[in-house]
Amino acid sequence: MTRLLTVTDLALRLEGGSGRELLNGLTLHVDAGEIVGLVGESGSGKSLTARAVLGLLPERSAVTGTVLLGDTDMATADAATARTRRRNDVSMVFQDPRSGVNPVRRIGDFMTESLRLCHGWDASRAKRRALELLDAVRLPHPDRHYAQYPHELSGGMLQRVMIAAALSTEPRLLLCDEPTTALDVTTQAEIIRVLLEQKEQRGMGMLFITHDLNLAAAICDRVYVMQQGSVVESGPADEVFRAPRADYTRRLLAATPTLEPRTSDVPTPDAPGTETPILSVSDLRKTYRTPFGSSTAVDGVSFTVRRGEAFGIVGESGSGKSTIARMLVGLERADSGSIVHTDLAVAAGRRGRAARLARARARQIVFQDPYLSLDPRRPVGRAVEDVMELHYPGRPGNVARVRGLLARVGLGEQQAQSVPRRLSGGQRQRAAIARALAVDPDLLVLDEATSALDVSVQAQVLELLAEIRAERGLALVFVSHDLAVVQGLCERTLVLQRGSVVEQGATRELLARPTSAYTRLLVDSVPHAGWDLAALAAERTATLGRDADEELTPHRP
Amino acid sequence: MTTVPVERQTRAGRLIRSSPALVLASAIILGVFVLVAVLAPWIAPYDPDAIDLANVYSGPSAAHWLGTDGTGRDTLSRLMYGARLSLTAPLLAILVATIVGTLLGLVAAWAGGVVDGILTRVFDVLFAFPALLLAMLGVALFGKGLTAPVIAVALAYSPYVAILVRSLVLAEGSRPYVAAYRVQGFSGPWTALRRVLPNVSPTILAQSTLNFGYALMDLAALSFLGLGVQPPTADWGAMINESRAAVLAGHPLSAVVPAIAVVLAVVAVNVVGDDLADRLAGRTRS
Amino acid sequence: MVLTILKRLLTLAITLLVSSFLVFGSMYLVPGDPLSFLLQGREPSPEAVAAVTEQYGLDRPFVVRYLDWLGGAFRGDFGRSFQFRDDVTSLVWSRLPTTMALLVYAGLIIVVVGVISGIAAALHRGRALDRIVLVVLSGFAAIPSFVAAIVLIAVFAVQLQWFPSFGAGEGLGMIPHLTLPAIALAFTFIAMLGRITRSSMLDQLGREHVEVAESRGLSRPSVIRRHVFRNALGPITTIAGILIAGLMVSSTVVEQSFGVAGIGSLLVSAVDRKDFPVAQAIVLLIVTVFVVVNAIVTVLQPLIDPRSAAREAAR
Repeated sequence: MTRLLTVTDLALRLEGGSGRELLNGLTLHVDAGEIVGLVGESGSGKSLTARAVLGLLPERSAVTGTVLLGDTDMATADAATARTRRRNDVSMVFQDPRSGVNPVRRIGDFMTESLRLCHGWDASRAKRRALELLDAVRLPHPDRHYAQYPHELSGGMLQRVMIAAALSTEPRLLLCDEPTTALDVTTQAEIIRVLLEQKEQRGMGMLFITHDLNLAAAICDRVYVMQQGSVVESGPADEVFRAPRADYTRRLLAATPTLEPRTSDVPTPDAPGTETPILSVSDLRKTYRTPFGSSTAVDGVSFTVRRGEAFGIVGESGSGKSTIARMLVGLERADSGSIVHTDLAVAAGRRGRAARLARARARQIVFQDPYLSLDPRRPVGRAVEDVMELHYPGRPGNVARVRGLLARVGLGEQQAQSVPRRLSGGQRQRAAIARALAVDPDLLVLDEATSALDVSVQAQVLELLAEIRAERGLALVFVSHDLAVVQGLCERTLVLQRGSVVEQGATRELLARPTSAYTRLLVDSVPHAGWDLAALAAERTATLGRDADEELTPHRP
Repeated sequence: MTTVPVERQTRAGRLIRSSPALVLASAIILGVFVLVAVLAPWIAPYDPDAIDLANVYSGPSAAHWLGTDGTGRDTLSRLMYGARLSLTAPLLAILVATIVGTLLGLVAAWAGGVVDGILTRVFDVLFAFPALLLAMLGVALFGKGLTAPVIAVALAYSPYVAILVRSLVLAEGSRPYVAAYRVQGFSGPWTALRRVLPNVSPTILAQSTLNFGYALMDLAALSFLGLGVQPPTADWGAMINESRAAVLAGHPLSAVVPAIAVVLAVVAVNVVGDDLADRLAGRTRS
Repeated sequence: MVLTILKRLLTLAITLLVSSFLVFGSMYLVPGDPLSFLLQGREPSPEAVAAVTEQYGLDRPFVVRYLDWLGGAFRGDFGRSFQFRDDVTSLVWSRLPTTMALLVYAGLIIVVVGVISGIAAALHRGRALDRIVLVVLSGFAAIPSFVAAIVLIAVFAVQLQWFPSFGAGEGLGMIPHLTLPAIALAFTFIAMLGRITRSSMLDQLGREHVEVAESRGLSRPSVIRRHVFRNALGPITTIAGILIAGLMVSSTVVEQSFGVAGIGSLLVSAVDRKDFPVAQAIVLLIVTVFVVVNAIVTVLQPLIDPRSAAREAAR
């Protein structure tokens, strides 16, 4: 097999002040025709490695080791040579197509830019090639898309454009930096399929960067596991994932939620008792009015949540799950339908301070972005105290309770006195949880609360939630796009599609034997060993319809 | 002089990373100006209006550190007395503009809808009138002097503050922590005033500091045109105006001195203002 | 998209209308009766009273007065100047070319120096050139046009005698005459344009689409041209209206300092001598220019940033 890339002992440190070592003696290789995975959490250096291969290292960085692309060492090559390599031999698909494609230029410009400016092609030849490529990545209307602007295409379509453009120079090595992280799971499957097809057809080698171990296990031939700038383990994918040797790999695997419907670890709901549920949602509806007409976010959703139960709400983007979460805590008002919170002795529309406080004590929420959901100027301990003081002003022992709460979520005195800026993502989210628990609510809504966290941190937070839930008999409504996480936590789950309930029931049953085609599609779209992407594509077309990915209107709520 | 509406904190960060020495020097300069302005009646060597026709256009000497002007008045004393008007008038104008602008911007952002629409239209109209122009209109209507111009300048800068506050509050208000406050049971007005506004105030303060510099230049320009402060009152802009003939005759000192004072004051204000903004905003950046 | 442009143009038209009303109505803010305000300082002879009453329609209801005045404005009739005994329109018209020459001259200097320094600073961020440009721009920002005028006259006109210090000259002779005024005018605006160019460029340089273009092997100049500067244009052009209005206003100071007979100095003398019709007309002119420039920028915006039309529509 032709060796396309050989990285030997690559080390990278930033010059100046911190002199931090970002990469620490990295060695890897990629051959033609294989998919090599680079997996790790944030800060592992995977993206930096890709940039090193491109010869696009940060300014003021000191590099040692070699990065042999063909016979050129990209680490020491001069600018012109590196550029020539980038034009001919290697391309990268970036993570977020919305920021990666110039928003003020048309798609056609983006596609043909490199061909016209770097390879001297004339406009018509370049356009023909561009249309071919847009077709190759399975975009339905290449001519139309050629003339469109990026904001007129959906995220999935734009990522295909990004892939098509990367392929326009016929690279032998394709780098993919988390190419599907910003996409829904069903769209992800399509993109992966396109990538694999193209790789096969062109005999390219691929370096696939991802934090998703399931995805890496499903598609990669070989894998390198990275932690803080070093490779801790490498080998054939199925070996590494089935029998990991390194401690870190084992921990990562243990922390990664996997969708295995046949496992008996899935929590089972108790048989429905005669107890009144803590939450009753009935025929909830909400429509947004936009200049383009109206858009239905929530379309007749009903469910109940029992005391102490963890209830999952899953769906892709645009399913309305976040809207429902916000409605549950009063941040949005439904157009019609009812949300009844038992124990809340306040009529729905009552205003006034007492009513406000009573509602706050009934249900709280934890948001997705740990940093943005905390007041940047307030030390987290004070933030929790503020809530305590609002509800129980002057009660002796408030401060002690706050300290106790913070300790329970794993935050010490030093963290309590820190502003969010100085805390890690996991610590921030714990602070947000502590803050939510300060009023001792009966119900906690979690809106993608772990989606922005690293896998290992997510595992810790989920464990914390499970413990707290058991201790306090707290009911959870867990909104997420991640089926595996929901499976591990929630007894019952509801599946949403475009605002409507597709099905709901015991999580285990739902995921093992879905009654609806959509749920089955969701389950099948989660990367797993023996993933049949062609069959999945057929299933997707059958379930969603040909034009499902064509969202030419601006983003939905 | 007109300002750019929103001096955003882009990824580019600050405009100039001033050395601490520079910031300190600027702060000291400003302090000296303020002190001199306050203490002028006690520390000025001469009466600013004292004419001495035997001593016109004299250069720097032991008796007159900065020389004399066309009627023999001591430039240094006039500079000191001039500081009082040249500094307080823009200060007053910007204080009013900041308060009014912040209130309006806050209301526009929080109330939204029709109220926001109307207020934005009002701002649009006010933007069409640069500060100096509005000041001149004020003089055309109410006569020469500083009263009308100060009100006019306050009016002219209010929309800049208002749209800055509006966009800051809208951006800040869309962050989940604000929603979290509501869910925790804090009231809307409390959240807006006690949490959101303080979080955005560093940027407002920074912009107001810059606006002070611009207002200083606008009002000095007005006095330079003979429309603001009237002779024989001492004011930096008026002093330059009165010395124009002197410049043409080859005696620029009595014009250059107040000119330097203006430039120095504005530079110092800008340096201190930028530094203040950076340090206060540093606490809220991620 | 055409709809959003039309909507925005309508908004601008309304802004202009309201502004004109304010300019017209400001007269009535003055305590006392409008007649004495308009006549102040002049002898109230019966002919003068009649002339002013006629010109301002003081014997007719307010709304009619406004509409008359507005109609007159459309026709280019702003009445007669009190100090020059000439009609306002021809007065302004005769002095307009001089001011325009000055503004164009200054504008060229501002755009060339401002944009180039901003680009240079952005491309050498953190290094010597950047620091120098920033210090210089910070200095420029603190030099109001009257200060610049005095210093330039003192040094280049009186001391070195390179340039004249007075008047606008004729034909090509305008160039040496207007050089010092144009430079005096330019300082603060160079600072403004330079800063915003620099920060807009820096903002774009940090964006991912720039990195993507580099990863495709585009040469650095191409990347800067097509992905950095092109995208940075948006914020730069949005300040065009404010920049031009500010220039016109600052030109009053410069024209006064250099004895240039343009509409700026006309405005100053009108305010000084309580010639309200002239003052009113020139204020309205400046406001109109501001609105027109904004209208042009609005129409051009979709070409500069295609998302803006979509964003406007979503508001």
